[in-house]
Parts: sequence; structure tokens; C-alpha cells
Amino acid sequence: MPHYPEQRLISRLTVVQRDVLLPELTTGAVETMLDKRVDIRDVIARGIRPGYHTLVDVARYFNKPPDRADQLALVKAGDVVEQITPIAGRNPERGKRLFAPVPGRVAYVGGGLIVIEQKPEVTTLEAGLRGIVTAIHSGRGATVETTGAALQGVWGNGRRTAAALRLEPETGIESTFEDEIDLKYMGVIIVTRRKLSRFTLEAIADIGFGGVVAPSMDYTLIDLAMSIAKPIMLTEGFGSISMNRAMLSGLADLEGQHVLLDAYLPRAGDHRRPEVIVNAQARQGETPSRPNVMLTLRPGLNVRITREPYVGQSGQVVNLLKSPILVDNGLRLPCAQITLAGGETVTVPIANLEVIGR
Amino acid sequence: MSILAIDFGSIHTRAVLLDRIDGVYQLVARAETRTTNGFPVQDLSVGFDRVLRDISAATGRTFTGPAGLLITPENVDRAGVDLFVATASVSRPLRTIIVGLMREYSAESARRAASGTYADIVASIHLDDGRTTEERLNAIIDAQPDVIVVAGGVDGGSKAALSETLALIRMAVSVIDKARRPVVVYAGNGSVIEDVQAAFKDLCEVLIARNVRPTIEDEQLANARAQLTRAFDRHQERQGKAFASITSMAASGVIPTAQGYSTVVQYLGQRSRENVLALDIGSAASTAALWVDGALHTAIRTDIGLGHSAPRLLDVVGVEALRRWLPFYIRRVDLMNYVANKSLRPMTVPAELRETYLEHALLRTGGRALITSTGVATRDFPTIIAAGAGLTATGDPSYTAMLALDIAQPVGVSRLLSDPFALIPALGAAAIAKPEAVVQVLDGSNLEMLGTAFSLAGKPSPDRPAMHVSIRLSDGRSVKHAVDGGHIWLYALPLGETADVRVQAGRSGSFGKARRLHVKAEGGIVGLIFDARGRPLEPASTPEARAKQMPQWILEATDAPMIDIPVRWLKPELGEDKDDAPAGEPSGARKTRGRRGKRGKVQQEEADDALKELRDATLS
Repeated sequence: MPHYPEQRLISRLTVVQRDVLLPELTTGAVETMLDKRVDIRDVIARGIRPGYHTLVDVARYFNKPPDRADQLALVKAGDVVEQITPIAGRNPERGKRLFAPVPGRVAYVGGGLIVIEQKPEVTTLEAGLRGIVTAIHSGRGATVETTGAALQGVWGNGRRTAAALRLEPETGIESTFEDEIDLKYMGVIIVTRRKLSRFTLEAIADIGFGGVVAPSMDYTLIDLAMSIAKPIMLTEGFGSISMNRAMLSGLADLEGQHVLLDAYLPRAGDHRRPEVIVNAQARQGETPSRPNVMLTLRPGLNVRITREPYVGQSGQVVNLLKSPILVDNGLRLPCAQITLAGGETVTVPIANLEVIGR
Repeated sequence: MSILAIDFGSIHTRAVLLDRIDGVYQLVARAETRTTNGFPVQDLSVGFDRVLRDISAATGRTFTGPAGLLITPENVDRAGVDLFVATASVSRPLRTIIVGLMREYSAESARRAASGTYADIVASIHLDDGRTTEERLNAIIDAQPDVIVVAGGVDGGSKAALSETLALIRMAVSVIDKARRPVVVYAGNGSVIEDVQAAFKDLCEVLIARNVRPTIEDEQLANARAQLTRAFDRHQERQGKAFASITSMAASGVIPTAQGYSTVVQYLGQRSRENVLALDIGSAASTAALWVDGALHTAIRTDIGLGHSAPRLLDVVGVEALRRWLPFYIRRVDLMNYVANKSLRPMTVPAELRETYLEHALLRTGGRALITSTGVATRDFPTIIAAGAGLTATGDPSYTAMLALDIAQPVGVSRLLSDPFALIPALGAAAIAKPEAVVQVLDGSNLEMLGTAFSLAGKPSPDRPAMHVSIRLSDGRSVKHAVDGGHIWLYALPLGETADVRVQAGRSGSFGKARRLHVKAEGGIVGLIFDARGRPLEPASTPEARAKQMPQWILEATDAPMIDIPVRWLKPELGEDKDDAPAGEPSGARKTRGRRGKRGKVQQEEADDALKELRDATLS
């Protein structure tokens, strides 16, 4: 049976097609249309998160049974009320009346109760990339398509920014902010080859980087990373993993360019990944590639190894072994032979190979 | 009559083709691919096409017409299939709110009913939860539920408190946006059903189940679970593109994968009148289905899994429980990094020794937690079925058998079966339309028979004879062996063969109620497994001791070359918190001096007599 490997893009020119959607549980309205050209900050949809609901006990206030109390309601579901709006009573102008305790929208009237929803939280969903709307997802968002470079990571802290990208100096990211941040790095998305430390994360939070791309960090720092308002993307994973050579090379090619860093926080079964995207048009004679849905593992493909003992290394498939073989750990697994960038040929379980997507 | 069944797991999409051969349903072909619900495509039909193509290649049959749609029923050219069924565990679990009157009774029963489907309990509301009505209202709205399970009151009991609770739920559902309104599953006092239907009419869908607590002593979960399965089906229908094309083709919609385990375990249990255990440890969710003393018990846990749910599994079992299954020191942070990476790349497999032990520690502790959550205490499982790639895709059936024993920890005699091709979910789905297919496929040799295990309870003395085994083969030859305490012995009795096996427990062990066994045992891919490690199975208390013990177990169970634990792994690494201290002795592992009193002496004499009898029997 053919093996369809995981794909992760490290591509200089590809068709980037992204579903830009509100979270599944958010109620929203789409504010764009098919074939519309959108920019990074354009609003695709607005989502509404319910506000706090205040319960007003009309029956108790008037000392009436619920059905009688309902007859005293001066408002109905959907009405907007201010803090001084009378909401129940025989007469809205005089006599014993009950006033709205909070401003908001009447959500429910019945059973001797009135429920007022305070101001709901409205979130806006931005396009995140410059492109054309190719599909509308009712109530959720749209699909935006563009061409350009795309480099996908594995984890992000849920933030996004557009800024110039720079590689850290040879002396490391820490040398850019010894006393104060080197102006050259102010506001830029900085790429570090080293794992993120608590010290570096705290510095990112305090000083003027636009965002950070790093290979790895310890999982114990996840709460700190999530609390930082600037985007952080990991390219390899958690622990002490060096940056994959192809990824570093791809990022180095973008040095100085204005990029979008979408440090998307991945969820189970999610189509979307954290990534760095640069809009670029194909030059004459160039055809941007599309991710190949039916791509099977075969000799000649460039791959990245995703588990120990070769985690993070790139190589090329030279042979797919016909039957499972006994691996060093005592398990018998379907494997491929991979020639690493250094020339060594190693045997790796095929489940631990990611094709460096086009 | 051909049946095509496809199971969409969170990692793998597996297909099986069943067809009648000589009047009996059999597995004809199978295929497996990665589930296509992530980059670069989020459409399950792509994976569906892939497995169909593979099955076509294997059988020479076609399944789809020119428009790419499945041909049903099968035509005269044998193109297409008569029945297509689909199961899934891939979609997001149901966000579930549990509502009951009393926390320990109705709310707890509703929670247990919800554990029979892929449910995440996002809030629990009951009279003694300490919240005001306003707080309860906001808790329901904020939780954004897919389903609200309402229980409470005994049949014919007081309605007052229940009516108040129903009014609260009605109010909460009313203020939720129409497109997002949950399904209400009512499983409370039967005398208010009409009130419930009237209250939620035109508001949201209501599914009525029989009361989970018809009396205070009685708990009835089956009907509520069936209604929750319907709610899960509705939920999947709303999943959009990913499920749309599959749902439209499948005869009964898309059924929860776990339902197959319940169906098959119930069938096997009723037929054999013995206990049955099936375990499916997946990436995002895991299922245990147990038939015990004539009753079905299931647990579906979305917080136990080896891939997507690995970080939640670590939360469930705790760092110390995992360390007890590791033959080396490990820092807490390294464990956390491991599980986090597993959730980022759930389809990967361990390729080096340290990670293999980590993976199997997750499997063993998660599997135990899963069984424990069913509330069943017995270890008497004459049939054990292992499923899920973590258990079945080790590439070595002996390894699979050992892991299944470590998780199930049975006592006595157990037939060990494995389901590497996801036949059980398929049979569960097919059972609705073709129950005879389930019977015939299970009666045939379609599940992998690993072998028969003999497992000792108690704490056998290490390295002293704990099981005396006599095997009489069908050709009249006999084999005898003494298995030392703390060890496993394998006898390769081939698949399809049986042997007359007598086993006598040594001084400090037993097989449950019996101390000796005499059975006709089936062989298998692995053969006969004699497990004298005792129950509950507790690995040694220090990493140094486990570094000797665990590779030895693997050697004994698999007959593969022993892989020693490197000495450098046995140096405690200084960590950043007190949890990084090495695992201490497990609380249950206190050593007791073997002071043999009068009772012990009598038992020993009985055992010696039995051993003598056994010797005589096997020599004659």
C-alpha cells in the first residue's frame, strides 16, 4: 500500500490557500465577498462572544406568581435597555417599577424573570494574508488564496504580525538586548537558531521585537509564551531541538523582507498551521506549486525526520524497504532509507518522515 | 452480499471489505491510509478514495461509478458493494453539560452515561453546586454546549426541583443563538417527559431516554447512552465538508467507532457467558468495553490518547505513575516535552529505546486509567481484545501480547486477540443491517489470535518457582516448565493447534479462586504465555531495578535480543523542581516479610500435594 506522508511546507513559491475562520464555537457574520482582493488587515468576519447575563427576578420584586409577574414586563426579548430603563411595573412612568440593573439587551422574558445580556464581546477576524477570496464559509469566514513563500512551523502562541524578518546575530538573540535593544532589531521578527529560554521569552515580552521564530522551547514555558502579546512560532517542537537546515535556509532567504508571521495555535484535526508567509508573484516562466494531496512517499523526495535519533535532520529518500524491519528499539516497523544532508544513510520509520512540501 | 466498512480515526482511515465466501462472511481485503482532516486537505473523502483505490487494486473490483460515487447495491459485474457503513472517532468530542439534582446520584449517573460516547464534560450543574441561578445560567451559556444531559428524580417522584432545573435550562437554551443551540437529552423522572417536550418544543431538539436512576438504588444507562449516540450523530452531521460526502453515502450515517466495541463485546460475552474486555487506545480518544457478569460497561475517554490527547493523558495519570513504568531517570520537563511533541505530530512512532519506553509507559498507564474508569474491579477476563495502533502496530505480536497483559492485568486464563485492521468498528456498524455478518466474521479467524495467557495473582517470590506448567500436545508429547516469580515464559504453540495445559500456582500465588488450572488452550501467533509477575503488576521500585527487570520481560515475552539500558540513563538528572526526584517506592509495593503461619503452612502443604499430583499426571 502506498504511504501518504505528512507534508510541511518550506517553499519559496507556492499557492497558499488558507481558510480564515472564526473559532468553531463563535457566532459570527462574514464581511467579505467572493473574488474580493483582501489585504492582511482587512476584516473577513466578526464574531460575537456572549456577554454576561444578569437575572432580574421580577416575581420576587413584585411578590407575584411568575405568570402574573410576566404581565408586568415592560420589555421584550431583543429590546436594548439602559441602566435606568424601567423593565417591569404597571406603568413605565410612575408607581412601583423595576429598573434595569445593568445596560444591555433583553435576552429573555418569562417565568417571572427577565434576563439582560450585557455588552457582548465582538472579535474581528482579519485576512492575515494578501490575496483573493476564493470561497465563503457562512457565519465562519472565507478562503483566501495567494502565491508566495510559505514556511510552516509546528506550534505558535496564537498571535500574528507583519514585519521585516531578520536572523539573530552569530552571538545569539540575547546579544541584541544586553542593555537595551539594538535598534536594528526593533520591531522586527527575529529568527533564532537556539531553543528559547525563560530569559529570552521574558525579554521578548518586555522589549521591542515584533515576533520570534525559534526551533524549540521547553513545554514548561508554554504559559509564559502564551501570555506574550507578540507572535512566537516554533519550527521543530518542544525540548532542545535544533532548527532544521532547510527551514533555516528558507528563513535566511527571507532576511530583510516584510513577512507575515502567523503564529497560529494548532488544534487537533486542524487544517491550519503556524507559518511565515511572504506574498510574491511568480516570475515569467515560473509556476507556483500546489500542495499535492495524493503525494506518496518515494525515492528522491526531500524529507525531514521528526523523531529521535535524527530529529530535525533533512535528507532524501533513497529506498523504501519492502517489509517492516526490526528497529534499534525492538519494534518492527515499515522503514525507508534516507541519505542525510551530511552524506550518511540511515534507516527511519516512514511514520517519522515529513515531506518538505513544495 | 458485500459490505464495505470504513473507520475514520484521528490518525488512520481503515477500510475492510467483507463478502460471503461459501455462504459465510469473511474478510476479503483491507486498506489503511492517513486520515485526511489536516494539511494539505481537510476532506475525509480524499482518504476514502485512497483506501478504495487500494482495495480495488487488491481485489480487482471497482467500487465507484463515473461520477466518483459509490455503487450500491453491487451489480452483476461485481462492481460496487451491497452495504456501505462508516464509523468515526475523528470529529471534535461533544461539548457536554451534565445537569442533575444530586451530585452523587443523578448527576453522577448522567456523567457515566455520557462516558459512553465521545464527550467532553465542559460543565456540571446540580442543586448542591454552590452557585446562584444567575451563575448557573452563565455557566451553561459560557460552556457553549453541543448537548445538555438532564437527569434527576426517581420515576414517579417529586417534580418540583426538577421543574425549576428545567426552567433554568430552557432559559439558557433560549438565549443561545439559534444556530448554536444544543441538543437536550432528558434522562430523568419519567413522569415529567411531557412537560420536557412541551418546554423545549420549537426551541431545540430533545431526545428522551429512560431515567438513568429509576430508583435511588438502580442505575440504567443503556438507553441514555443510545440517545447520546444519536446526539453524536447529529453533531457529526454539522461538521460540514469533512463529513458531508461520507454521511450521504453511508447507510446508517456515521456511527461512533466506540459503538462497535460495545456491540462486539456484548455479542462475545453473551455467546461465551464469560467476561470479555476490548481496549482501543487511540490518538485522540480511547475506548474500553467490558462484558462482566452479564452486563456491559464502557468508557470512552477523550482525555486518554497517545497522540493528540497525550498531554491530557499525562494530566490524568500523573508524572509519578509514568515514571514507575520507566527503567531510567527522567525529568518532569522531558516527559512534558515528549507528550507535547506527540500531540504536535501524533502519527509518529518511537524509533529509539528511550522513547519506546516512554510511549509504552503512556500506553500502560493510560490503558489502566481507562479500565479503572469503567468502575469494574474484576481481573477475570477469559477474552481480551487489543486494538488501536499503539497496541497493535508494534510489528511483533508478542510485544502486543505483553503490552495487552500489562494493561489488562488479567488473572487466570485469557484468550488474547488483536484487531489490527479495525474490524470491530466495522462489525459494530454492520450489525445494524447485517447482524449475521458479525457472528460469522467473529466465528471465523478474522481477528488475530495472539494466543492464550495464564496469569498469576498475588505477589510471587522473585526468582523462585511460581507456576509449574505441564503442556500435553496433540501429538502426545509433553513439556514441563517451572516459571519463576517475576518472569514470563512463552511456549510457541502454533495458530490452530490446541494443547492440554495444567498449571499449578506456587506458594504465594493463585489464579483467582483456583490455585491450579487444567484447560484445553488454543495456540496463536504468539502461543501460550505464562505470566508469573503477579497482580497487581508493579514494576520494581527504583529505575536501577527496573533497568534490569523490564528488558528481561521484553526478552522473555518476545524472544528478541535483549536491549540493555545504558548506564548513563541511570544517573539522576537534577531537575528544576522537587518532582524531579526519582520515583519512590509505589505505595502499594511495601515489602512484607514472608512469615509463614499455620495457615500458610497448610496452604504450602496443599500446594506440594497438588504439585505431586500434577507431576504424576504428566508423567503417566
